[in-house]
Amino acid sequence: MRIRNRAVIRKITRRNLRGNSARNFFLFAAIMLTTFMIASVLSVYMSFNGTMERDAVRRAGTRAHLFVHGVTPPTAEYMKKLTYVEDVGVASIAAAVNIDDTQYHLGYCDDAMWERLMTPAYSNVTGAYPVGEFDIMLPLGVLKGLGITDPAPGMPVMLEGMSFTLSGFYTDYQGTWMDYRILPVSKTFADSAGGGAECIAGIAFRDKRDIYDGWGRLNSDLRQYTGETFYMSVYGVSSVSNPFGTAAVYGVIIAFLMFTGFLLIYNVMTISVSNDVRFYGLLKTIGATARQLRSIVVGQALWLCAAAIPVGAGLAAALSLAVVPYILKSYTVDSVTSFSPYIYLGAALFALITALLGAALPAWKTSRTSPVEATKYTGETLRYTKKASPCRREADKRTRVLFPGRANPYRMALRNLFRNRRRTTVVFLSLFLGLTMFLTVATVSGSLDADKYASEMENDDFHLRYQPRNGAMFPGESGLAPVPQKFDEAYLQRLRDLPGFISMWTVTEAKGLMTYTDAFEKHLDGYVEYILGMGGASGFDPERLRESLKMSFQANIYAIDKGDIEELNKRLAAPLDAEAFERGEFVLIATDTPEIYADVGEVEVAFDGGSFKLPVMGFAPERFKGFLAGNVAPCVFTSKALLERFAEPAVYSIGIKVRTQSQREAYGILSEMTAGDGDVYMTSRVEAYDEVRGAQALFWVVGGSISGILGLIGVLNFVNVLTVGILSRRRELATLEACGMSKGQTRRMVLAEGIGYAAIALLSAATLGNAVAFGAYSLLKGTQGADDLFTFAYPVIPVAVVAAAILLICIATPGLAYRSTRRATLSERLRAAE
Amino acid sequence: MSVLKTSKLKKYYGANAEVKAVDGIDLRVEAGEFVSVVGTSGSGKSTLLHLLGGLDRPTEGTVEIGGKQIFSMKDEELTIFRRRNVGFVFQSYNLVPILSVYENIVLPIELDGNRVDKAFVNGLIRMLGVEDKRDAMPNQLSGGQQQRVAIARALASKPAIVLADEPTGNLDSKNGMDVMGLLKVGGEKYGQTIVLITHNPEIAQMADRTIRIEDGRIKGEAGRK
Ligand SMILES: Nc1ncnc2c1ncn2[C@@H]1O[C@H](COP(=O)(O)OP(=O)(O)O)[C@@H](O)[C@H]1O
Ligand SMILES: [Mg+2]
Repeated sequence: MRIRNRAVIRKITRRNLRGNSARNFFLFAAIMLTTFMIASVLSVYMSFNGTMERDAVRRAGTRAHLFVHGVTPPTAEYMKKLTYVEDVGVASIAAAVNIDDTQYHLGYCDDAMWERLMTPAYSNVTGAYPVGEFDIMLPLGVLKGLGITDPAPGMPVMLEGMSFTLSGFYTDYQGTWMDYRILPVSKTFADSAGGGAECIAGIAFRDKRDIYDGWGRLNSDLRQYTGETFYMSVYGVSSVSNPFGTAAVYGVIIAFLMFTGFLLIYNVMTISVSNDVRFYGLLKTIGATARQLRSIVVGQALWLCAAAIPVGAGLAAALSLAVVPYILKSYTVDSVTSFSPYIYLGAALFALITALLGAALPAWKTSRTSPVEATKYTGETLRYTKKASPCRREADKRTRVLFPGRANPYRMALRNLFRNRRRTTVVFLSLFLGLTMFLTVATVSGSLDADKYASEMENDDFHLRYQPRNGAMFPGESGLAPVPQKFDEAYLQRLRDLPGFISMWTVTEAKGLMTYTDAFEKHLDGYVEYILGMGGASGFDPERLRESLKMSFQANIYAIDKGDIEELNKRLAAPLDAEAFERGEFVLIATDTPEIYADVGEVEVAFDGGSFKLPVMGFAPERFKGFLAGNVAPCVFTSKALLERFAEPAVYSIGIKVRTQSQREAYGILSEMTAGDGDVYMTSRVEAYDEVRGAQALFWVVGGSISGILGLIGVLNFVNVLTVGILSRRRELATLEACGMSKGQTRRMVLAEGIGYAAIALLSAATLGNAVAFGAYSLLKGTQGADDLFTFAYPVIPVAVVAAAILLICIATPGLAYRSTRRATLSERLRAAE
Repeated sequence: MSVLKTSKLKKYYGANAEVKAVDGIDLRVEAGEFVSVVGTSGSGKSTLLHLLGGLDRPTEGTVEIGGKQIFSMKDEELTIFRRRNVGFVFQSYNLVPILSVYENIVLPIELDGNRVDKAFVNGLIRMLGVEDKRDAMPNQLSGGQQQRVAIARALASKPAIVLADEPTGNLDSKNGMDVMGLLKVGGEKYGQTIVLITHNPEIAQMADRTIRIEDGRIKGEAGRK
């Protein structure tokens, strides 16, 4: 039978809620902070991924992962039905035009192609897709090339003698390497170009993590379906994976936040419920069922959720406007701040779960208290009988020695500390988590050493490298064509003219064909594995691949100076003969794993202008002269004179040293020189330094705010326990005073309790917490490539400040709480509780 | 000689003194006397008792204990004075839950930093019949046992005056009479002065003198003398 008692339960719930304003404050704060932090974390996650994805799409020039060339409508339809394909868009290419030495293609894009695959890569899309036969849409860059800086839809434009009407324009970001840069025209225009139109299908795969896999599957499916092989060009990149993008990291952070939130909610609820135990016992005596009691407790948590979650979510939304762009600043200028409803729904859900979990246990316990027990309740007692634990007896004895023969405040404080072990544990845990997180963040970020990183990463102040973007990805595509001379004498002269220029070195490069011998077997194993690992090559037969690689065992040969050998000799146990190297009597293999070349006694390399066969006299670290691009065969160092005898080497990389005070200025000039040149890759100490500094700031902001909130929750928990502990002991304290305990003694007792809590929390943080922080630091330092980033530095000042703050809170809280009870006279306090 | 003396003792509550809880009481209690106070609920008995023991300060008037004006003392001084001279027994036993029975009893002595007179305390404990509960915690005791412990605590420091506010109010009549008997015997044995509030006429009669209070004033006295 259902009794209509909802209303009365709701009334009791609300009354009880109203009568507990201090407790409500703590619960509100806990729920609000939990919601706020989870929403913020989710917001950073979503915004980061959104920004990364958008930027990847912009760089690729399309949201399509690859373009299939020469498709027919039935093939396009077939591809649409493939389960692993998300989107198929078709463009019919009508004509090619040249603007400013760059080739573009006029093409009609169907809806899917334009709306879903192209426009996501653009911004500022203005106007409408071309409809009229001579309508066209153009990117702002092209319009600028045509001399139009202030475009407006409806404007006439001329392209290779044809006149068009501008129906719209947009900003594009694509690099120079797309085979097809499509300029959108109307369907009528494309149709009138007749059968000459080539159809290109843009494909977006469902699984964005490994598009090479999709590529492989599509390749074989199409071959099966049509019997022919299509030319495909891959533009998209697999989704970025990095520490800020992995869901797992965010999951751990959220779980951590939920756990601390839970600790506070659970603790506050338990305390309030046990203080109200007489009240609940009474309700039970009167006839409230266990279930009703539970719903009274949980109902209070729900009411508070209803108030706190929107506030927390609102704060997070407001803050994300300011913080997200800051956090993503080091990645992009215009970040996408995500306001996806999922962020706030998710945060609300997580916070609700946290609050319900926190309330459920106390509710259950309340519903199980026997009414008799409840009315007899005399406050929490120590289960302290004759069989007191040896440890406590020991502690008692010790304090008795310290303050012999007295019912002294300190001994009582010690007892009070152990009065409710679970509560004490929860408070310590909560405070400890916050402190440990803080220690970890402070240690790690304090140990990030920008100077060390900058000097370890870069031997030189600036480093330029010629690395054509459309360089060969697979063997056989580019052959052994001579490397173009990007860094010609004029370019080098400009570098020598840099402010504060000290010195410069160059490494030259030529491509050759090495003769394969079995000594290279291990090297080839690694290379084949690398190729197959790319996924797109899943159709390859490893054996056939091996054979073909042996046939075209292409090598990048790098030439260095005599001085470089002398520099290398400083690191070698057995110095090399620099003179002999300079004369071209031997070569070195550039590798960090010399073991696998143990059997290589000599190498034979053929160039267009002849070949050499020379002994390998040693090995040089791969990054000895900066990054080296690898090839099928291992990279080889020769002298410049030797390489020039056989090929026309081009400058591959340049290292520049500049006086310290001119670093920034030189950096500005070099950035300008290399900006917009997709083929020159620059690294610099300045950038490396800024990068670490940026990471450090980011780490402080993100880690600092998380540990700050965790700490705040811990402190709230602590303050709540201490305050409630004193307020609920009003009568007990009054009794002690009636028995003759002086104000000073009582105050000393409650202060000692506070200091006791603080001491245990700080001690455990100082030992275990520091160990965790150091462990995290070592773990991070131990990750690959991170060693150069760190020099251990203990965050003395932040730790001292926090420790002092904790101590202050621990001393101030009991003092204040006790003072507030003293506002009533002793007589009133003795009465109040009756 | 009067060990306890009040003069024009008044305690008013409220912004305009609308509640006259104690309204001009002049009372003298002789050393070793056992006085019971009766009156309807809300007549001001507890307020009077709190004033007598220095738990509260009066609006007007004085309380003298052993010739000393207690309200001319500072808080700290008064506390120390109280723990040496006055023992309290409350209706709800008000034992300190973190202390064992023994520790509760010797609390006032230890708070004063004095050596516990073990023989005396053990005698008290035996007299009150809680020997086997010496090391128990208060929540392991029945109401009657708790009240006995509270009485032992009030007597332990050998105070000159014991003030008891309905000590039997929460006990059944058998237990109530037992506890009363103990209080009286203890008082006689150690020569203590007892002021006791009660609702129970039977218990009131056990006193040397009964004072009746109404609306904060003494409305009558009956003595056995
Ligand atoms: N702190 C207080 N504020 C206002 N009124 C009070 C306070 N304490 C007691 N009273 C009032 O003083 C009167 C006497 O109370 P009390 O001494 O407790 O009576 P009794 O013990 O005889 O039942 C009552 O009317 C009570 O409501
Ligand atoms: Mg009373």
